[in-house]
Amino acid sequence: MSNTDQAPRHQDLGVDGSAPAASDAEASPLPLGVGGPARPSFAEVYGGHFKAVWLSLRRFGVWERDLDDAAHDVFIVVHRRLRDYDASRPIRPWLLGIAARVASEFRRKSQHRHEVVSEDTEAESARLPAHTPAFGIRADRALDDKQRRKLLHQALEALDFDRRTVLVLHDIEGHAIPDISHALDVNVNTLYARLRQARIDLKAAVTALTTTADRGQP
Amino acid sequence: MNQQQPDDVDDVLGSLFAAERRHEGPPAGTQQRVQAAVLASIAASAAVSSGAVASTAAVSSASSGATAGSGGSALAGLSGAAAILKPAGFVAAAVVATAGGSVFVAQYEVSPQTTPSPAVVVVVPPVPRLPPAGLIVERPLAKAPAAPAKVHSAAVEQVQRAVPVPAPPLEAAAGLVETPAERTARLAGERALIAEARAALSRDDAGGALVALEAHRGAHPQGALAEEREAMTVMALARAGRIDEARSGAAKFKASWPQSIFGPALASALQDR
Repeated sequence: MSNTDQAPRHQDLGVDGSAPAASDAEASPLPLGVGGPARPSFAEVYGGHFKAVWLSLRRFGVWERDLDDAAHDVFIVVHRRLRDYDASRPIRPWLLGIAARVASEFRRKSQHRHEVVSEDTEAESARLPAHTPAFGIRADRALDDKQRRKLLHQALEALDFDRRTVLVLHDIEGHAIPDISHALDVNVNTLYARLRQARIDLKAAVTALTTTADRGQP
Repeated sequence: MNQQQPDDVDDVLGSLFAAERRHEGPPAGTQQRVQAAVLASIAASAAVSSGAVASTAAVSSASSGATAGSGGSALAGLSGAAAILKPAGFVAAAVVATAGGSVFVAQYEVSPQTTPSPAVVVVVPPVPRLPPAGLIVERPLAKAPAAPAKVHSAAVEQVQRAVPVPAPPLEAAAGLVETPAERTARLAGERALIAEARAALSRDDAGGALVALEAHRGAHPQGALAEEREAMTVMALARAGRIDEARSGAAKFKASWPQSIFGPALASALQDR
């Protein structure tokens, strides 16, 4: 299941309402097209999409320690609502829409206990370590993937959750805005506006973080 | 619509997104661990929705316990959980999942009682334990890449299918003595699980068979059909290509039931491997 690791083709995305990146079809033998598609079984959905759900929960900002429980909750909802899924549409955005709602709830709950657990390793890992090389915008290519992910996740924390959701689903997961619109039941124009603003916010957050990190360098 | 398109992401964000997409995914075993928890919760909620009022403790222990068992050896589940059966009815289900991915599913449906009866408290049911001579718990599903999906499918089917058994009398509910009615119910439950395993084997679904057998092992560790269960487990392991485990299981089987009529069948199943 290397599906989610494949880079969506940004130039293709959201321009014509095309289907999500080909990785969706690759992730699972589930029928995604039109023409009387069969509804996948719960087992197929679980087996074909667990990794994507887990990763998206992480991208939505669920803490590492909560990821398993959040994934559990997502699939409980999926099990209950699978019969509501419109099999003529790609299933991944539908799943990740559920994941977004679950993630939102986990984030809300985690805020209450943040102070209690703020010293754990997870909180530590979300913080840019002192020895991190300069995150200069032009020096970003010097960062390895792990550092880039850390930078990205910290910057994502600066985003409003709704904006973060659409940015994750579109720019990272590679889903088309119309599919996201259907999955989240949010107007397409609203989503475009959120995405545009999300990118602005994210860029600003990255810049701020890298500037801060730069200042910390000798 | 095009005019609404945001600009493409710039190189900096693009490089961060690309790095994120290269994330390798959850740690090994996560999918199986969560799967066990999901199955447990589905079974517990099935019990509730079918009329039995399962205690919230049952649900919470099933869901949080299994996911919390990151150590890989913890048994989590409905141990000690009670379901309060309404006078009218019905299903109590217990699922115990190991963090390693093995899943026990024990399910009982209590038929509507024809005469009024007070609410009874039933300890949901023979609580599965780590089977002393268990063939399954010795290895996590993660070692059998082909197994999880089938296992899951079979387990979910199992969870969603009720096994009709006669209503146990109150004495049986107290769990003190096995009455004739309770024995009938237990045997019916045993037979249903073994039949499930046999059906799975016949359609070449070794994973599904192993789940049903594990459910039997958990619910009826010393059941009347234990011999058949262990024999079928060896055959299912062989069918799944897990030859070492099958051989090990066959040796244990022979030690436990040296004169078993299944002996030749097991030897045959392993002969060509």
